[in-house]
Amino acid sequence: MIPESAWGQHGAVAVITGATGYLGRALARGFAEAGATVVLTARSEAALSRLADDLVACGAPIHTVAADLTDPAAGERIVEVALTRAGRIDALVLNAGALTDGLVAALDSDALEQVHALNVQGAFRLLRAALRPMILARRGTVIVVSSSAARRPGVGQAAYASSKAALEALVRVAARETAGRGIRVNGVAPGLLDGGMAARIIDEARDRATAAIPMGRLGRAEDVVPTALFLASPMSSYVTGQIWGVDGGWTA
Amino acid sequence: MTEAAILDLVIAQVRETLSVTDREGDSVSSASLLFYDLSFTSMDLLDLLYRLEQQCEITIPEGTLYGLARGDMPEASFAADGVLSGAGRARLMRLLHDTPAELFAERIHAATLPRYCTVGAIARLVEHALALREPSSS
Repeated sequence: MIPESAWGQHGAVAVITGATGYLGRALARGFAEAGATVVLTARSEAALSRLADDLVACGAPIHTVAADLTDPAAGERIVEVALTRAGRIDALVLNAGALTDGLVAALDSDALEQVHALNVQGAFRLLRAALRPMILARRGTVIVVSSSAARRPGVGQAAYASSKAALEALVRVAARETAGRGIRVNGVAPGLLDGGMAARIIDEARDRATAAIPMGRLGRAEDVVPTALFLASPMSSYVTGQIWGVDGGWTA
Repeated sequence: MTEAAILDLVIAQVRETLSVTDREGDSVSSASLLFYDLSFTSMDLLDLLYRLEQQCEITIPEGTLYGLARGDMPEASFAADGVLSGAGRARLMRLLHDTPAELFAERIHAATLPRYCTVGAIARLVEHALALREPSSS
């Protein structure tokens, strides 16, 4: 068991987007339990408030910012709130995402645009805003939540998979550009998780989906958290521009 | 702030930027060309501008250099398809008068203007931004 102190999160500030979703809640809890001050964002103020109540027992300071990342001003606002309330940003976890299914031949271009508006452009704008204080501080870590779909997309995943592939390219470019400034940018690519946005697929084909995973089980949000914490921690100080699959061997 | 104080501040921040990659900053002067003499990268320039904006509480938006060079010249006369016209090139050379004339390419792409800047030119940009912030102090 890795001691809590090894994650290096005590006194650190982590901004986590999509914090009220299935994976987001686990990430928020993971960073808070590791001692980080967490700045949690999601669209619903009420859901954020409930999450903050759930995490109070962790003992770490919790701040919430209700924001829709498809709003072009949201990224700057989140960073401003984080700096005002928490004083700094050490880790940015870009977790918010949306999914729309549809065969390429029949995919509505508006649907593709909507998925990219949040998954790519929303993430990009917040990343851009957060890099400024990180460049000034000459430190920081960014963890982008991608998906195994970027590397091994399924039928009907054109919008989602292409958005995650774009995010992975963004990770690599941003990592190269900021490596000299003490900033590390990495991605974590979960496989099929037993909850959240994959719930519909799992409800319809749980046995088939499970059988296709070498480890023989679906992932849990908690499976992803240690990798995200590792990428935010000094333990990964020589790691940047990488995408870490957490998928039970699905993309092996 | 006096001109000399602004220049000193810019030189100090250029040295700070260079220190990130252990580059020597002792020889930095007003005449030093950021990209030619000091081997600046575009990230170095961004780093420097962020630091100057923070220190001086100013903003130097992207395109400031372009706007200053163009002045009151109509956009179409200044540049076409992202390349400066002859008249536009002459305006840029006037603005960056401390950059050796032979360094200016025949075809100057609008996105490459910062590469012709000296440290002194950056100090003048800061001066300009300070004047916009505090008209009475200019």
